[in-house]
Amino acid sequence: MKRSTVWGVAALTAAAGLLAAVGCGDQPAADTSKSASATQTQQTPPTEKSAAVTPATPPKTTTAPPVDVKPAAGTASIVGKVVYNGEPPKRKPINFGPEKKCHEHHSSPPMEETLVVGADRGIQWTLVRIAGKVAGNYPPSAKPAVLDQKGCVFSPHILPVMTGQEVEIRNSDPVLHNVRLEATLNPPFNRNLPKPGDAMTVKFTAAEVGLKIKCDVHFWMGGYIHVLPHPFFGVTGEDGAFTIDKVPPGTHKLEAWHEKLGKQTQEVTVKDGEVKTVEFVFQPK
Amino acid sequence: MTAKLEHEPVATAPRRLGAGKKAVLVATPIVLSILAWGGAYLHYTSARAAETRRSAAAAAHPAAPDGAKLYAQNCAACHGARGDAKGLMSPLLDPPARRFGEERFRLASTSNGVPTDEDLAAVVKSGIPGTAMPAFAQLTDDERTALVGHVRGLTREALFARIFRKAEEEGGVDPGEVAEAVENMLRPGAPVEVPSQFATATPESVAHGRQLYTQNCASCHGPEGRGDGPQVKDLKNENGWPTRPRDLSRGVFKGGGDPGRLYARIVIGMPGTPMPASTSLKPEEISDLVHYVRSLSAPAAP
Repeated sequence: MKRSTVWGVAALTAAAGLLAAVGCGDQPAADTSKSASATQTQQTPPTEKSAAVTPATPPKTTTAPPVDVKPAAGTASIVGKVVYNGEPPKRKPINFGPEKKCHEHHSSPPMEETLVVGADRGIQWTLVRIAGKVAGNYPPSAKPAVLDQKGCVFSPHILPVMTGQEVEIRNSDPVLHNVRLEATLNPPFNRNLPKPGDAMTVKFTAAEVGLKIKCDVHFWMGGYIHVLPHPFFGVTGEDGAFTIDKVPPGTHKLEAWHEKLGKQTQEVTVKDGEVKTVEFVFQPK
Repeated sequence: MTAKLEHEPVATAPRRLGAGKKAVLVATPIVLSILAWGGAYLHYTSARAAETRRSAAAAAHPAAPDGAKLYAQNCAACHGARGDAKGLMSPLLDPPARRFGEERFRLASTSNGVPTDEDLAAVVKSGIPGTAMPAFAQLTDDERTALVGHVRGLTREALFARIFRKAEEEGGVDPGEVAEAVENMLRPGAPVEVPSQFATATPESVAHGRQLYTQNCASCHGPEGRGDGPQVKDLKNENGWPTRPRDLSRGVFKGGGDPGRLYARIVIGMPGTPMPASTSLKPEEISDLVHYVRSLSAPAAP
């Protein structure tokens, strides 16, 4: 009994002493940072973190993709339809307001294109694509994609392009338009195209879906550019139908993207030569 | 109970120690704790001495300005401690304070609209007229540079998070690629050439400028430059915040009203706002446009 008491007291004293040594050792250091700046302890970590992130940039991205990777020459197809599960909304004509010249290219007033549901409930302007990367090397089409501002609407309303493909954006109207694109993975821009015939060319380097394009001068003018890393995509027509050809065999994540209705995905497995039929059903919002 | 008590001394008897060993046993922890306390005291005093020496040295040679500290003192109330515009005063501001990394900087001198460090320092120095952003002219150049360094850090961090989120949506995040994308977004483009000298405005140059104005600017800024063009009701910035075209007759310009600043604004536009870059105009056309814009706010001739 006595001995254990002695040992206990001794151990406690020693521990307290050691703690004191450690604790006091830290104290002056903490004091220094406090006296230097009250906020430094809070503010420094992010800067350090981001500084640490920067050198982590791998130099490998500049090297060309491996030469032996060929386009996976698939022979399967994915076809299908995007359907609206509800009463088709009534389309409204676009109100051009005071801009009379906007009517010049139209025989009848053009209709809004943000949600177009056909008689058989097919949804137009939906992007259907294989989400993410697909093994293989897919060079973009040498033909530039064209986005025209004609009759004060963007034509086409939805423009899918491939990474590295040239995109020409034109003004075919006798009025001033600007072209403003908001993006996260690609550099955003906003250009003035004041005269008919004015045009600009741009290439998108990163795959990114849902790049909003608009003309600020005419608030109704909007559309989307989708940038894809491979050619396995389609945009639904008036009947809501799409076709994706030359799909490599395997299991793919198929995604349907609509500006108003959001997105849906489903897994699709195809064999060589197969024609797979897929349906996406969107609920009204 | 009793049996146990009886047995105890028997059990411990063989382990009974001599007086010397007992002393060692008792003394060891005491000596150890004295050493530990003593060591702690010595460490503390020497650290204090070092601290005193350091502060004396700091007083003799003032260290580089502390960007984080300056930011906390000068910017955080509006821009937020993390640069996310969640500061004490942020809800009161219109237009709101810039959220670093989430939104783009408006005033740049480069072809891609990404500001250089000098561009940012110039905004800190002059403020943004017509907004809540004041001019921090009282700071030294070194302090403004340190501040810009801290703002860059906050911007980089928020941009990394934003690009990471988007890359995740696209399915497939490579942190290396995200880091590269961040650096690409932050890299200023080639400087836009701005004439160092502007010819004096003449009635002809102003008239020509007016012609160009009608074609390029009047849709938003209005036929007489009063910010009342026919289509301006629905203008929005990248963050969805409603915005108005500048009333040019008031002579208050976000990026400054001298000819060189106006020239740059017309060529580069204001990133993140409806104000586009007018890249197809020739330099002499822009100069005439500048003459006309400046004429709108010039004091009336007597």
